Amino acid sequence: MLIRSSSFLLSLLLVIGAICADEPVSFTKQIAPILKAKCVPCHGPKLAESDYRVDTFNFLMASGISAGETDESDFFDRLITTDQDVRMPAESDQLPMREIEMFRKWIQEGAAFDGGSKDASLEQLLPRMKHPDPPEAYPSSLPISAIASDGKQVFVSGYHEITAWSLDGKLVRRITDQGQRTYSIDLHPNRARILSASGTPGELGEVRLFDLESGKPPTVVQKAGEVIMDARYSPDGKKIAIAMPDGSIRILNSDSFEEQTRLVGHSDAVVAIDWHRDGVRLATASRDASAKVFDTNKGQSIATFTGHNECVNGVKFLDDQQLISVSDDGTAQRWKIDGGRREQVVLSQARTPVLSVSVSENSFLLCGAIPTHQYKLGSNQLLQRDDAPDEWVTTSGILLADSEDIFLTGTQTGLIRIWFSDKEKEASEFRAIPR
Amino acid sequence: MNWIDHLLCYLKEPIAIVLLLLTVMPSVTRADEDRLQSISVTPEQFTIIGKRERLQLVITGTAIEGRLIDLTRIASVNTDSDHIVIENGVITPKSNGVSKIQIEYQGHVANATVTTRSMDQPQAVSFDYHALPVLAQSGCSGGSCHGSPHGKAGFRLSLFGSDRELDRISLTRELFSRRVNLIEPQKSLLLKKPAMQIAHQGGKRFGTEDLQYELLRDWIAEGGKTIHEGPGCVGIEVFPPIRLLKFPQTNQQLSVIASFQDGTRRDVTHLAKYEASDPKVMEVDQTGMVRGITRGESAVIVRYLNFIETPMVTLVRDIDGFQWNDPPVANQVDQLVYDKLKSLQFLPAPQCEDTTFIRRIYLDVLGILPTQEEQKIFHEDSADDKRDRLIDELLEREEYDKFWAQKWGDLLRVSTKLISAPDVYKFNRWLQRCIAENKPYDQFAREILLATGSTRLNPAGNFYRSAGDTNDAMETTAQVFLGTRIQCAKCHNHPFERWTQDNYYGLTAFFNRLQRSKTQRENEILLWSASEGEVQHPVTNTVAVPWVPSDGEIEVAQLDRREALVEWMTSASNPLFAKIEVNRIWAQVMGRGVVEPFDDFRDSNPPANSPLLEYLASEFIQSGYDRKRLLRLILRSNTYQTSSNSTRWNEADTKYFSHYSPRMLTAEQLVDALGFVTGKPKQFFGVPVGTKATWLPAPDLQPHDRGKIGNIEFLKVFGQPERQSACECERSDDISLGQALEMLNGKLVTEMIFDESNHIHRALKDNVEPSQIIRDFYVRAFSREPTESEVKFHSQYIGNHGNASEALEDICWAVLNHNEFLFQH
Repeated sequence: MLIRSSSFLLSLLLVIGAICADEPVSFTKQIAPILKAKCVPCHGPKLAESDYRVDTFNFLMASGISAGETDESDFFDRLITTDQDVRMPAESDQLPMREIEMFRKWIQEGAAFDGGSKDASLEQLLPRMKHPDPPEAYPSSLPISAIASDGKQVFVSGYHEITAWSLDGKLVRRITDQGQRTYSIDLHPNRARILSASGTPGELGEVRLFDLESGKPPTVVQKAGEVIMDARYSPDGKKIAIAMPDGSIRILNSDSFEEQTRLVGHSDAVVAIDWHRDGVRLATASRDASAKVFDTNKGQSIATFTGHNECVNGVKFLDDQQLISVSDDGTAQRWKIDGGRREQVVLSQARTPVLSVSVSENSFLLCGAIPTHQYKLGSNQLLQRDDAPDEWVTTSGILLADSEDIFLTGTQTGLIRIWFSDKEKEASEFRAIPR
Repeated sequence: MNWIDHLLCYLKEPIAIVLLLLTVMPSVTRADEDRLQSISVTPEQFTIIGKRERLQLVITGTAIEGRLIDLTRIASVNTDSDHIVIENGVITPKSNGVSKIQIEYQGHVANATVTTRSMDQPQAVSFDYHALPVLAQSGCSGGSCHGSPHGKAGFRLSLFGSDRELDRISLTRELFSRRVNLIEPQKSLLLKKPAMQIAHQGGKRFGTEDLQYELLRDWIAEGGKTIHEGPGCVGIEVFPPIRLLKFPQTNQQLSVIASFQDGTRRDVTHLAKYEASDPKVMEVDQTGMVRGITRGESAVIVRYLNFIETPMVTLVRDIDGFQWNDPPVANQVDQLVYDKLKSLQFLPAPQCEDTTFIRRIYLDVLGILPTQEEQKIFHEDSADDKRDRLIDELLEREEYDKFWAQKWGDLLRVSTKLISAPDVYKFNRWLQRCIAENKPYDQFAREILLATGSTRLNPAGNFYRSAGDTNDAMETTAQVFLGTRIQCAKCHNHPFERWTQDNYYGLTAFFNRLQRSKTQRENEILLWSASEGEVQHPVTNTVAVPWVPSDGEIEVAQLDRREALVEWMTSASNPLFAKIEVNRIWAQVMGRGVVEPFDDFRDSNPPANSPLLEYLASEFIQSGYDRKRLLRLILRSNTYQTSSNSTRWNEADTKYFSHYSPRMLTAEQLVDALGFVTGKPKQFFGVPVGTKATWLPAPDLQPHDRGKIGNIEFLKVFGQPERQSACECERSDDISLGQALEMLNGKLVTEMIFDESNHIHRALKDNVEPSQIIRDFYVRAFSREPTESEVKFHSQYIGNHGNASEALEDICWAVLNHNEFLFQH
């Protein structure tokens, strides 16, 4: 016992020495990151264990912090008590001494707030983060999780970066300072800016905007506590819709990034969205096994599609009246928007998730653990089917060559394929992994 | 309790813990005190193939008196070889070679030889043999976490890794391979969450220094490969398979060795999952170290892949001042119960009073309370064997037939919902007849399970109407006659048992050809066996082969496959059949099975007294499955006749039958008792006047009317089963607020107490003295005379009240709400 407590004291002294005595502890820079990483997953908006939340400054103070008085702060007592049943984080080791001392100092200094809004979520308060550089050459493959093109280059999700490739497969540009994984890439209609949804699984989600011409570090448009799966410009480029992990969709002004509308109704993360070309309707796909269509002007849901029984991975408008959704349940289903009635189960194969759907002028493409299928728009006739890959085709997109029907797909191991509907033209392939 | 006591209460435990630490820490010296005759090591020879493998040694000392003591972490273990490193009895290989190991303790020596091979070759972490077992061992793929059918927090695994394809997709594919990071493996969600580097609702499962972390990290770093390679695992072996431990030496290291198709063996002690069947008795950590907590017995459920072994551990302790008092033995039942009690150092309670005995035996054998007359005769009898004679007498009464037929009605789900009302009566009469004739149990089972022809002519065939389809018939048979809750295995391998999905469909194959044809007559079903029809296994899509538990797949010669099953079931090679029934009968009169829950037989739920169960079963078989004889054996034992008052020498015992455990009357017993005590028995719908609740053929003869709460609802409130499940657990023994309300001011009780023609009011009209009315009432309700102070207390109440009639109603109410009435003790 003696030995333990003296080593405890020793480490305490070391820690106190390490925390600069003069500089006051910053809530946003030092306290918020710890709360976010260690506390919010159980005491946040998604799950508020024992009705405690610490995901905003105000919630944290209400959870039992008495400014200036660590002895009076139940919150602090919970960090240091030796009673394992009471100590937080629950069922885990005690916080490192360095972090506990940070809390002690911050509370004793008066528990000051140095952010914008005391009701803002912690990740909104965290300072902009510079992401680590990607590896020069990747030590292994990486599943393609996002793909887009302006007709000349193909933008592909990388590791802490977006890579740009020429159509013949040469690496032409690396856009760094990105979240660990990128889940969507969208080009502004003027093709000068790239909007991306990204994040680190279980920790952080971001939407970042990168100006292709200036090459300046990306601007952070939105943050979340879990990866953000999709962010899309409206057809006129004036709005940005963001699929949030909390089940909401945020509509922002694309210049000021101010939130204009928040669409709610999904009970789990939204993973894909699609603007209708009318610029008003927005289709959404969620892990709650449903798809919806919202009127973004009114901020209301118009229709809900409940025919899937597992996560809906993708949703796309086919025309004015119809949309198509694909799901982990192994089906692709076509719906009538009015009334939310199912028109057809386009594809159904148990235990083979359908991961992505893309729509061009004349056809649509389905891919995933199934063979990739291409159908004619309108008649829904099967045009071609590719049995070749023995790996999952994880994502798809279209090559923005305005009148042509050229699809892009990316696979589990990083293989990019450019598809032509015209069967005469050879499909081309390259591996979009920096080597 | 004043504050000092209060404080002491809190202090007691820490002190106990400190004392425990003091006794555990210098266990080296304690073990020194036990003089040993020899020491041994297991295994003595082993070959470790591959650098990821290791070997757990188990070192055992034999004390002079023969007791075995685990020395694994105490004995000095040395080697002069550089090929291996030894720590805590675990050998980690370093390079190829042969190493001699010397184990020394108290001057005794044992030797082991370990050969290490393939150390110079890379050994990849195996998805099947390392990664999935780690997830099972760490609790990730358990039923309450990600192994639940819908997973947790969006992450789903198969239960204990039983579906590798599902796990492969969840771990390596889902959400763009969200959970494994092949570029920076240590940043994988699969590691950060369980190591609590980021918050994890499931808590910290392992640290970054632990072997579990290392294996998962290396598996990811090697590319997260999921190809199934190498020979398959064929089974596991646990050492020691059985062990008696005595305080304070209650540690026991286990070792688990897996065998593979190519004949190789690997130590998987560090990868197996351990769980104590009775966690109050002991705990087992991830390294396979058992630590005793208190006296008792428990199995350790050891799981690796889908293999399960269940070594038994018994813990005994010297209790200060304990002295075995050689209580008298009435028969072999007592002998076996006392053997167990003596070894665990519990003293059996003394015999109960005659007044307690007569109430107990009536309720257990007949389901009703004894009349004043019956009590009088019994108490006036002064012969030594009067209890034995009463038992014999009761077993011949018709109430016994009816009461025990109702128990079978519960098991066989006799209800108008599943079979028509006329057939309910018929089936019930058939059951009563079987009980009355004391039909041998094997014949009884045979007649039910092999029923053919018209259900009108053969009421036993109604079994196949309650169990209306192939799966139901198999599940009910397994539950009732094999004591196995096999339903889980329909969709996945059983989570606690060796039952697999293959077994489920193998058993189902016996029932698949049974045909149920409607005839032109109403409510008649014709049972017959088709000559073909196979069961498809839903996963493998192959034809399921008829399979029985101990013998495996069997050839069926009979046209009716059920015959082969019943032949095996009732054969001498299947003692389980007899065990289930003797345990059921034991539980029905003792309140708790030797195996508990008493219809849940499995290796991971061992009997509280195995020799007792064996003995009862062998007696039962030898007697030709004579149920009355078995009951007589149990009821005549002192064990059955012990007092329910515990002493300091047995109060800690809840499962070894040192004293009788009081239990509340069943719903039906209670309604009958209320009617008997007040003199206003309840009349039931659809049965002759005078039919008791304990004789009702079905719980749903009266059409259910939600608007009219109070009538038959009373039975439901007190736990009467609806007979929708063959599980004994359907009869609820929960205490609820509804029960208190029913007893305090429910319609049934109120009507009985206020009725002008009940015992009290009639006696008052006949000018019986109130004190006599109270005496009579006590004898009916409690089967005993009131004490003088009780009589005085009640008389005073009547005097103060002024209105004798109302005062007596109050007293009646109080008596009926007293535990002495509500409980059998």
